[in-house]
Amino acid sequence: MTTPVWKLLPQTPTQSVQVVWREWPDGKQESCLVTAEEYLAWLAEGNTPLPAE
Amino acid sequence: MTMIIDGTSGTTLAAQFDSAATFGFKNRIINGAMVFDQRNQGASVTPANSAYTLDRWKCYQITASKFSVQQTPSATETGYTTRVAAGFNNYLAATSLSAYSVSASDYYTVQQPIEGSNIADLAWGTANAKTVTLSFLAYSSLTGTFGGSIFNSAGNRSYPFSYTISSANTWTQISVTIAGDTSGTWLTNNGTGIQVCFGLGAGSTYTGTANTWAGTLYIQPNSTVSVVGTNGATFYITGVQLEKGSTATSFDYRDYGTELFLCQRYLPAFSGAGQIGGGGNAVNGSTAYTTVTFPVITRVAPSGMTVNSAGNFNIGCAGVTSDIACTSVSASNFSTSSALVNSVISSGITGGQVITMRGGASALMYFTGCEL
Repeated sequence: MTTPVWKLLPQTPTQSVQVVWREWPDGKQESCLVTAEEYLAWLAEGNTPLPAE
Repeated sequence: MTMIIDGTSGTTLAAQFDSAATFGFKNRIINGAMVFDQRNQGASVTPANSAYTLDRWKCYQITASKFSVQQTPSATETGYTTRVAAGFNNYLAATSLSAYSVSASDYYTVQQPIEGSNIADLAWGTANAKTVTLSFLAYSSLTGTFGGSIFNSAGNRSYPFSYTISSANTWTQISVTIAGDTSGTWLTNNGTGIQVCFGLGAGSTYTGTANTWAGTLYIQPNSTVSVVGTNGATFYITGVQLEKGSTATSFDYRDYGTELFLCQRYLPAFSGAGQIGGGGNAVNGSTAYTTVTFPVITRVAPSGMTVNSAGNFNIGCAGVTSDIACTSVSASNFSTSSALVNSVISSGITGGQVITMRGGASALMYFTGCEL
């Protein structure tokens, strides 16, 4: 299964840390803080998130 | 334990009643009987390096896709009656996906990091370090001398141990007694105290002399079995117990609810039909926030959340007659007790309305980042 690209979600006034989100082909959805280890590891591989809409 | 009642001495309790390991949190391993698999619900997975599989059980595979893991793929494996008779309905099954020759810096493991606060009484790293005994039921399609290791969070103190499985496809009871480490740093806070590791193959950098402490990270002893070296080879394990003392005692069979609570300190999760959160509000016509409260206080605040499918989750709203299925679900504002879930739907609500969140029969939601 191809690893989906993280997408930045709009940061709301209630959020102190921005959140990223992605959806897998099987429908699984993940979200995490931009400070989360898994996201930072993904960035370290040279990946870039999709912008917030 | 022996209880003697006579007319002279009255009541005398002897033997294990005096054992250091008899009472309280005897088994420092959580989900040692492999009962809980909240993430994967019994599905086979090929874990990424450093990924969790069954609750509390983490896997390392330095080169990807060398083994898969599944909770109890069959309840009728050859010799299953031995396992069932020992009291274990579930097990963790690791299966090699190729015939892979490990390189010097490779290692492949199934391991459990034990939180430091749960091993503080062992006084490791001091002159008063307590002896522990690791016991488990193991099973493999291979035979020979297998290996594992106990090590600290920094990976600069380790004790590689060996054990023998003489008969293929036969559950074998194993017991290993380890003198506590009087050196090194062993965390006693909410970080990793002790790693209990079962090796599935390790290169020369990570193998060392068996049954002695070393000032480096060894995953398993020299010349022990590499499960990942044989395509289709299996390694099954259950009934894992780490206890204080020099004797393996009976498995600490904790009640289901208690064991689940222990797991949820590291992986708060909700599954199946039912109310998940309340006290929410609609932000606009298609977005709602709901507070989800965790079953137990987590080790640390989560940093992420996973749902198996957004469509398995619905929001309910006063004045709206039917629940509305979500199209995306995310979470933020994490604490050790709750999170804010952001649900997006196509339409049907109005900003300011009170919202609740419900899971359908197939719903699975869990919060990540609390594991060690």
